[in-house]
Amino acid sequence: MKSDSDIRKLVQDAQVGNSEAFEGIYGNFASRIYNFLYRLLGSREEAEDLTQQTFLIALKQLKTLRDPSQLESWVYRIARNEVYQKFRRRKFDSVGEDGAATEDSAEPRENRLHANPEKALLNVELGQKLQAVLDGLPLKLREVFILAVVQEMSYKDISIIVGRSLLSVKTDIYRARLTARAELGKYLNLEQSTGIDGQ
Amino acid sequence: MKNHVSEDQISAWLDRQLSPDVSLRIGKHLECCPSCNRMRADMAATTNLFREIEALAPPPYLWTRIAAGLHQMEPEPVGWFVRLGIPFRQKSWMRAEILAFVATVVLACGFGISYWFAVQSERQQLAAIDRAYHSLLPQNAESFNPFATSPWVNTESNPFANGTSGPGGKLSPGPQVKR
Repeated sequence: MKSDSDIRKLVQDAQVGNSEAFEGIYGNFASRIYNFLYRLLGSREEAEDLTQQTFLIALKQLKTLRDPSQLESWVYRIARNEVYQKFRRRKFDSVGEDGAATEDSAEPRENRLHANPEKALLNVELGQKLQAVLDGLPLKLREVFILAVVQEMSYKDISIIVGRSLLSVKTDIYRARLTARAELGKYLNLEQSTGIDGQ
Repeated sequence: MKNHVSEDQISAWLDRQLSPDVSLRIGKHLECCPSCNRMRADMAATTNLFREIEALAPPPYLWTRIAAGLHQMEPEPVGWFVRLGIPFRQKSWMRAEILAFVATVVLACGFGISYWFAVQSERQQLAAIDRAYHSLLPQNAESFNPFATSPWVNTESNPFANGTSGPGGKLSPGPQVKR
């Protein structure tokens, strides 16, 4: 992640059409945006499509960005809008979407595989379960929960991205946490026995 | 123990989103309150499970696709109106000055139009008066002599008939007019 001044420079260069600056912006935010979209949608293919769409829109509309320090929130907001549009389209679309999520979340992750096959299996199972918990959350709670817990963003930035008040964001994160805790009871007992602390 | 910490505060505390003094106060409370500490432990465990999720790297071909998409995009035609607006986005002082100028022009146009309407209205009123005046005149205005039936014409009671209005009791002859 680059510093604010680097980002400012990148934005200024990109605003005059420098293609290297475009790539720099992509390189800086692509991973976070892609993971945000993946956790939100539960599908790699959809996350790829929307990441592509997000960056195309962002780079095309970059000239309209007045404050370069807001670039990250701005790109996240575009990504979020694309997700909402996709969900709106899904409502009117009769094609089922169940296949993609399970297919993607079932993919083995190589660097999660440990010498202990039981633990590896548990990790895969846990990954699927976590994604299922996320998928089960209402979109309004899911987006703030992912941003706060998975991406570790500040509540202030989240409130800018989702366009809701700080209090609403705080409450939604708390509600999502309670739901997730209830869903993950079995795994929580496992974790607690190993003595994990929050701060 | 009294004054338990609310669950949403514990949630925000775990995310380090509270002010330092509130955070310190809640931390101290959690150390000595078993029920709040249990809640914190549950929430922390949930949080840790999600924070352990491995971040996925975007596929390497994604930038190639985006770059291709950027190349395909043609520059949008910029209209004259948008071009006029470009300096507005760059400098705020210029924006204020141009807005002031536009406001002045609009006001001047407004005053001009209202003055023009006032003049037109006055002209129309005068024309109406003129028309009314002409409508009152007889058809052959030149032959109309308002004194034709006057009692002063060719009558003995005409005070000017014997020329008594002059300095010597006679009417002085007027200046000769050469034609």
